[in-house]
Amino acid sequence: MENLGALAVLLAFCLSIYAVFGSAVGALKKKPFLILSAERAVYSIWILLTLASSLLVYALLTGDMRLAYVAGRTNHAMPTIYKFTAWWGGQEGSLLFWSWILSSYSAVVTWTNRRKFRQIMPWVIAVLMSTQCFFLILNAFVESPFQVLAVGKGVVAVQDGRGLSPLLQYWAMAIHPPMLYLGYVGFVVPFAFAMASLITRQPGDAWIHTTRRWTIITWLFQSCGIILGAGWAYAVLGWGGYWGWDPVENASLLPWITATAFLHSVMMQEKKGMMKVWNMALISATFLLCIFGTFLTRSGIVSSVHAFGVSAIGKYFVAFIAIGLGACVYLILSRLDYLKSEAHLESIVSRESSFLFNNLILLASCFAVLWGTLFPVITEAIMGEKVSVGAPFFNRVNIPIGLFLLFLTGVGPLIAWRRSSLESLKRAFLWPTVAAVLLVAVLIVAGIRHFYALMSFGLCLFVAATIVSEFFKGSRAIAARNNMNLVRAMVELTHRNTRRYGGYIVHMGIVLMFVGFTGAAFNKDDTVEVGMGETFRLGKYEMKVREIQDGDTPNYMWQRAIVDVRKGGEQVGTLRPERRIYKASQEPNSIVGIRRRLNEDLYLNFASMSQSSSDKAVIQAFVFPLVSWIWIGFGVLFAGSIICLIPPKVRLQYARTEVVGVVQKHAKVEK
Amino acid sequence: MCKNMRRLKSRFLLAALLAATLALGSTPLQNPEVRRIGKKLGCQCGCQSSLTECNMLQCHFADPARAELLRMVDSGQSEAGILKAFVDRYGKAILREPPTEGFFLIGWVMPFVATAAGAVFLWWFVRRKLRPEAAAAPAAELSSEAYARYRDRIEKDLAKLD
Amino acid sequence: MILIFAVILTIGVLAFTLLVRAKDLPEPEPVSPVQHLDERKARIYENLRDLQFEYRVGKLSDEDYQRTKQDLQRELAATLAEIDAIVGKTPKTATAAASSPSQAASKAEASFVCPNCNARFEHPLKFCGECGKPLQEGNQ
Repeated sequence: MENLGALAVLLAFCLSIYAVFGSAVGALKKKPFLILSAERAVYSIWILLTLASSLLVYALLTGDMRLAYVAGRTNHAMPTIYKFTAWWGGQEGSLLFWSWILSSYSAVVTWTNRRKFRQIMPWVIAVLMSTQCFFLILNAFVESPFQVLAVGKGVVAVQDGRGLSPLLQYWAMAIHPPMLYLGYVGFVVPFAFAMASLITRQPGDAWIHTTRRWTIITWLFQSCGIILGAGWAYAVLGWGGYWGWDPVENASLLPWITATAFLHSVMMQEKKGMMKVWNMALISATFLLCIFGTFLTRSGIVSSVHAFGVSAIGKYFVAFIAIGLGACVYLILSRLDYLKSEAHLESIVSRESSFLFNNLILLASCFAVLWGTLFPVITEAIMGEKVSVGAPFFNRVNIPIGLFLLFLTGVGPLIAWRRSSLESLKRAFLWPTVAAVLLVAVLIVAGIRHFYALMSFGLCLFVAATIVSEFFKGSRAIAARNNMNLVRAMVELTHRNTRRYGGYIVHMGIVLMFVGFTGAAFNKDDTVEVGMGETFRLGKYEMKVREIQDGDTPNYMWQRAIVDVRKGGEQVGTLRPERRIYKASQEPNSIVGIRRRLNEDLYLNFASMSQSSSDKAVIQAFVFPLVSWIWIGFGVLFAGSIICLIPPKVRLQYARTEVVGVVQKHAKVEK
Repeated sequence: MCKNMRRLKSRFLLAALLAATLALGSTPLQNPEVRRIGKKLGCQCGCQSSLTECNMLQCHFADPARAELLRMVDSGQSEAGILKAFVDRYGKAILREPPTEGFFLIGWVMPFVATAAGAVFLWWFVRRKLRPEAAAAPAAELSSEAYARYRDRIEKDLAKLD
Repeated sequence: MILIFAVILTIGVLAFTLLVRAKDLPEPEPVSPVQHLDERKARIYENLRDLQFEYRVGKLSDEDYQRTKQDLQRELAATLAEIDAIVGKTPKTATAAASSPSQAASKAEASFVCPNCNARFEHPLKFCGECGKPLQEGNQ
C-alpha cells in the first residue's frame, strides 16, 4: 500500500513537470492540444495526491505501525480525531498536506477558468505547477511519508507508536495548521495570476479582479490560522501568553503583513491604475514569504540549537526561494514599461498618500519581524557569537509601529481620494480627537500612567469613533434620500459597497484586538505552593484549593487541582487546572483553568507538585485584563471579511461599448 | 475501600513518576524577583520562552537555572550582577534581547533605519508623482473640443448613476 | 494485486492526461480589443459615483468635489476617445448615437480589413468589430 502511495506521488511529480513545460510550450507555440493536456495533468495530479493522502490517512487511522511516519506520530490509544490530524502533525505528512492543498487549489482554478483567460491561463498553470513540482520533489525524494521501518531487509512494525506531541492534542491545534496552510498556499494563486499577466503583458487589471475574492479568502484563512495559534498558545502552553514571537509564529505573521499591505495598495491600482510595480512586488513578496515561512517552520534553521545545522530540506527551500526571487525580480524589471502608472498624485493630502504611508508602516513592521527572526543567524555568521532575539525585542520595536498603524487606520478612511482640503479634514477629525483626548485624560485621572497603554486606548477610541461616524454619516445620507430608518439605511449602505464597509468592520475588529493587546500592560501574576484547603490571593480574587486529584486514562495520566474562586467574599466559580503526562511520549502538558470575562481573565496553571511536601501543588495564577477582546475582535474581523466577500448590490448603469460579437462576454462590468 | 485503593495506587504511580522527574521544579518561581529577572533570561531547552515561562516538567535547563537564580536573589546580588553571571556562564544567547553594544546595536537600530529609509524613499516618490509632467496617463491630454464632444454622453450617464 | 492496481492507475492517469480529443478543446474565447479600456471606463464611473456619495455625506468641500469631478470627467472622456479610436467606428450605444464623434471614421485609416464585410480597423483584431467573424485565418 505504501508502494502505491509512493507511486502516486512519483507520478504526480512527473506530471507536474509535464504540466509546467506543456503549458509553457503550448502557450509559446500556440498549441491548444498541449495546453489542454497540461490542464488535464493538473486534475491528474490532484487525483494522485488525493489518493496518496487518503492512503496515508488510512494508515494513520488503522495504525499501520510499519510506516515510520505513523509510528512516529500516533499511538493506538490516541483519539481518532487526532490520528486524523496527525496527517499534518509531522514533517513529511504536513508537506504532503501542503502539496495536496496546492493541487486542490490548482484544480479549482483550472476548472473555473477553463473557458476564460485563454491567454494567461497556461502561464498561471505553469507558475502553479512549478511550485507544485518543488513540493513534490520534497514529497517524493526528500521527506517521503511512505517510508517503512526496516531492520536488515525485512519490513518491521513496532508495537505502538510514539504518539502525536501532546501539545498538539487540542482542538485549536487540530485546525490551526490547515487554516494556516490554506492561507499560505492560497497566495500562490494570486501570485500565479500576477506573474502570468506580467509574462503575457496582459492589458488591464484582469488578474486583480479575478483574484480579489481569492485574496480576501486566503487572507482570512491566514488570519484564522494565526489567531487559532494564539488561542492555542494561551490555553495550552500554560505561560499565559498568546504570542511569543517565536520564529515559527513570526513566519506565519510575515506573509500576513505583506498580504495586508497588498490588499490595501491594490485598491490604488483598481481605482487609479497606479502602483503597478509595487503591487507586483508585494504579491511576489507575499508568495516568497509564504514559502520562506514554510521553510522556517520545516527546516529548523532558526529555532534549532545549532543555527546552521540546516536539515537536508533547507537546501531545497533556499534554492527554490532564490530561483523564485530571481524570476520575480527579472520579470518585473524586464516589464517596467508594461507596469507604467496610468495616473499621478493630485495632492499630498489624499487617500492615495495615506495608503502609501500605510504600506510603508506595514512593511516596516514586516521588516522588523523578519530582521529580528534572522538576526541570531546573522550575528552567528558574522560575529561567530550567538545572541537571542526574543519577545522583549519584538515588543519594543513593534509596539510603536503598531500604534502608528492604528493611527493610520483611523486617519486613512476619512481622507478623500485625490485631494482633501484641510478644513474638511478638520471637520472630520474634530470629534474623534476630542473623544480620544478626553478618554486619555480620564484614564490618567483614574491612575493609569503606562504611556503605551494610554496611547493605545486613546487611539482605539479615535479609530472607533471615525469608523462609527463613517457609518453614521453614510446611512444618514441614504436614510434622508430613501426615507428609511437609520438601521435599514446602514444595511443598505453596507450592501451598496460591501468591500468598503466590510473593510471598516475589519478595522473595527483590529481596534478591539488592540484593546485586548493593551490589556497586557496590566497583567498580574503570582506563583504559590498550596496544599488542600489552603488559600491564596491575586488581585481581587481569593482562591481556595478544595482538592487535588489524580487519575489515569489509556492515553495519559493526570493531576488536577480543584480551586474555588471567590471575589469580594462571594463564590464566583471553580477552576480545574490540570497537568497531564502522556504515556507514549512521556511528555507533560497542562490544561489550564481559565475564568473568561470581558474585563479580565483569571488563569490558573498547575505547574507541578511541590518538591518540598508531596501533597502541595505549585500553582501559577495570572490575571489578564481585557484578553477576551482579542477573540471578540477577531470575530468582528471575521464577520467584516465575510461582508467584503458579498457581491455589492448596486451595479453600474451606463452606456457600454458594443463590439458586435463580443457583447455578451465583455459588457458585463463588475464593480 | 476498593476505590480508595485504586486512587492510592494511581497516586503512587504518579508520585513515583514525578519523584523521578522532579528535582527542582518551579518552586523558585514563588519569589517575584526570580520571576521578574527570569523573564529576561531565555530558557535554552528549545522552548523559545523565558526561564519564568518555560513550562516543561523537569526541564533540564530551566529547573537548575531557576534554582541558581533563586540562590543569587536570596544572596542579595543585584540584577545586573545576576545577568552578568548568567552571561558569563552561558554566553550572550541567554539574554532574550541582543545586548545594546557594538555590533549588536545594529540589531536594534536596523528596523528604524529601514523605516526611515523607506520614509525618505516615499517622500521622493510622492514628490515625483506630484509633478504634473510625471503624469503618464494615456491620452490624458485631450483637446477641449474633443472633451466637449464626449461631455454630453458623460453627463447623461452620470445622471443615471445611483 | 497491488501491482495490478498500480499499473491501472498509471495507465489511467496518463491516458486521461495525454488523450485530448479535438472536441474537448474549449470554445475559442472572443477577445474584445477594448476590454481593458472598458474596465478603465467602469472604474472611472465607479469613482465618480463614489465621489458623488462622499460629497453628499459631507466628506468633501465643494471645491475638492468640483476639481476631482472635473479630473475624472476628463479621464473618462480620454478613455472614451481611446475606445472609439480602437473600435474605429461610431459606438452603437443609444446614448452616444446623438453625439457621435465624426472624426472616428477618418481616424481609422486602416491597415486591417475584414474579408467578410470590408470593415477597416486600425489595430489587428482577432474578430471583426462589425460582423464578428474571425479575422485571422489559421489562428485556430
